[in-house]
Amino acid sequence: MPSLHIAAQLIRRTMGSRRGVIMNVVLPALILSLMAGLLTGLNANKAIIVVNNADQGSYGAYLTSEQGQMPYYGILKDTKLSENELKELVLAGKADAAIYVPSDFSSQLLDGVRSKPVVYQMNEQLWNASLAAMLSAEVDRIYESAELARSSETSEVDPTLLTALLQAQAVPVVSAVNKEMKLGQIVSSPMMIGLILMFLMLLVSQSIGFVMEDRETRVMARMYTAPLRSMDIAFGNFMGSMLVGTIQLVIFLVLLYHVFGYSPGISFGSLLLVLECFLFAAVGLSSATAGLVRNSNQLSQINNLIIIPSCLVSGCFFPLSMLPDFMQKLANFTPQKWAIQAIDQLGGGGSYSDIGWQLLILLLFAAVLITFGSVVLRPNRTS
Amino acid sequence: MRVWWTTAYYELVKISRMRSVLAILIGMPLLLILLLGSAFDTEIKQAKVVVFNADQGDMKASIDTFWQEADLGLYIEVLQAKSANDVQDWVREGLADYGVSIPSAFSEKVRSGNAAEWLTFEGRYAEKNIAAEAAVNRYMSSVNLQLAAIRLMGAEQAAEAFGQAGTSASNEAAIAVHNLGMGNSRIFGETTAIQYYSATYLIMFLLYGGMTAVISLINQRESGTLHRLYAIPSSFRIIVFGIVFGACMLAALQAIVVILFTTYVYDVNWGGHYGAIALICLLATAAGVGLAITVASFVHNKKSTQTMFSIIVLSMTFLSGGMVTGIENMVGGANKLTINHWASSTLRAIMNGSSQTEVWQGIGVLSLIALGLLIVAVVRLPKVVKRHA
Repeated sequence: MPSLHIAAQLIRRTMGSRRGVIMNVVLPALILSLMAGLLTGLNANKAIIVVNNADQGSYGAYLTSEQGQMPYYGILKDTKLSENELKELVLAGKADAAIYVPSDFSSQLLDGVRSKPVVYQMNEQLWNASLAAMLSAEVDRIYESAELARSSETSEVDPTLLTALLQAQAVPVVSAVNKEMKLGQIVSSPMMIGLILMFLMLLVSQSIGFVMEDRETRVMARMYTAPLRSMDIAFGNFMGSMLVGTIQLVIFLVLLYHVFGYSPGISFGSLLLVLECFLFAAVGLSSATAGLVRNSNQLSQINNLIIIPSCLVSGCFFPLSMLPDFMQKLANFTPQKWAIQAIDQLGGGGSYSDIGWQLLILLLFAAVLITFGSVVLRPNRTS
Repeated sequence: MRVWWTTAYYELVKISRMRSVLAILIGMPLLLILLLGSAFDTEIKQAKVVVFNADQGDMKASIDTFWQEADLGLYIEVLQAKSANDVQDWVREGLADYGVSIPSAFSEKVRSGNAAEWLTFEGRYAEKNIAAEAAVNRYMSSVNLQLAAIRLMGAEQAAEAFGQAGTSASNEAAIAVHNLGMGNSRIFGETTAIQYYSATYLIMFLLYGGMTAVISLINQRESGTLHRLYAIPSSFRIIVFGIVFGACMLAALQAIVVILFTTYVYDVNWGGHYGAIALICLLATAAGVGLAITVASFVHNKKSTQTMFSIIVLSMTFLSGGMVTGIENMVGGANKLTINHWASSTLRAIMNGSSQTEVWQGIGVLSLIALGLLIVAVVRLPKVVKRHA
């Protein structure tokens, strides 16, 4: 079992010293806990919309009743604020949007004149553009109802017919029913898992860096004086890198589940399984990178160039859907994307059979990259 | 003067031989700016709605037309699925942001006056759900209006009334929308995302320029070559200054490349005033050098200097909102203690054409910080360059 000794040495070198513990365990844990704190503060902030229905008549109420049904907005209704005060609220950032229904809305409606409700917002975004579109559809509907209730002879609106029409619509015949689908939370808020993936990659690249150093200084070549086969050395180094990652992974996950109380809705074991598969791919990626450069110094630099941008592209820090389409396709070539997707599926109640495809891709990544990188893990002629 | 220039020149030659370092120092900021700038650009990204219409009744055509029209709008993009199961799968896999499945009996139920339903599947992102739901609601309310009219007025009269209302319907906007913000987005202030990140990462990498200088000093100290320079009949301080200046020239080169590249390739508008921009870059580099020498004078060896300095620069970038925007409002003013805050906010002020006083105020604070750090650095410099200080 000479490989075990080689692996143990690798662990000692990455995590054995005070510096190693601080850099590889304490600092990442600190950053994760900071993020956990920030994320709980950021979560669940619905857009706040202040509505003032200043309408003197009764029809304005039909307009504002609809908005209250949307689960995504936090609606403050029937404030007695003037139009200017609403505007100030939005400007001060206390409300995300404000809706003001003018006092003559009903009376103008009966006359067939449009008195426009007003929306205040800071700038156009998808959610508030949609809010405005919805409000404008509602206004159109009320005007259309009024036009229907207008008699063709007298051009007068029959108020009882109009009220009846509006009330009939308040109990809709056709409607959209939302079918609850269990979706994972990870793809849409990947920060915690994404950080763990990044730290794992950094750590693995560091331990591969040590192997590289051994090769440069010919320590690896000297190992042959002990009765060792090149397979033993390669396997020992590979196992060491995996173990280093696993130790860090277990520490992170224990912190995550038991100290921060963060739960992605997945059992400890299945998360560990997916991340172990990812670890394989990460060791592969790192050793393949090592094969491209000449010394360990260059390796650490080139790793920065690979790890951080690939984490950004693969949706580790923000949802993938924010990126332009071509970058989303590019993300398919990063192992992080598949790990995040697998965890997301599991979090949405998926079973292992659902994520078979993702795990297979991760292992394929590992197989291909390790083949490239196996040169590094074995003693060889130093170039 | 000649000694100083020679040391600076050879420092540059040395750096230019480290191709990989150069590639990282220049390529990395450009890559980060591109990635973050395009991820957070404020252009509205349409919600992808996957629709499957199984209805074979007389409303099929109107439903299809409705979705075709919705597809032309700004807010949603309609994808057609082949089956009801596809709809769910696409939403689950993230290929679509929202799913709508219209059951086969929809027209029939509506005709017979029963309650009829579309099945919708919400996706992961609230704002895209809102956009899709707004479209669905628009269809529902127009159908409900017709049904209510038919029920209350009778089919014939309703059709007649609709005919009349149709002719009198105007294309006037139903509501008035006022945008109170000046720029595109609240989180980036008045600059675009790519402008914001161009400023942030230019500054971050200029600060790193200081580290390059100090690492070079430490390398020469550790290999003993620095002390041989005492043999030269010229001031030792001038030589050290030359080495540091060489690294500063690299930073200047970096700034020029980043600014030119972002201007011509990413179309970033830096706002003109290149004199002021150059001054800010210079001050940021000076502050970076001062900080790096100070750090190195306390921790001594090369690896710890690198680690400490990286941690300081990265956390300053983080606090000033360079990684997660909006964080600067949550840290209780700690952002104002960072070099990054003053440098990047002043760059942004130049970009969006703020008043001269605001720009010069920022430059003023920045030069005070740089001056302070440089004074500390000069005092602590012997600890860095002397072997047994």
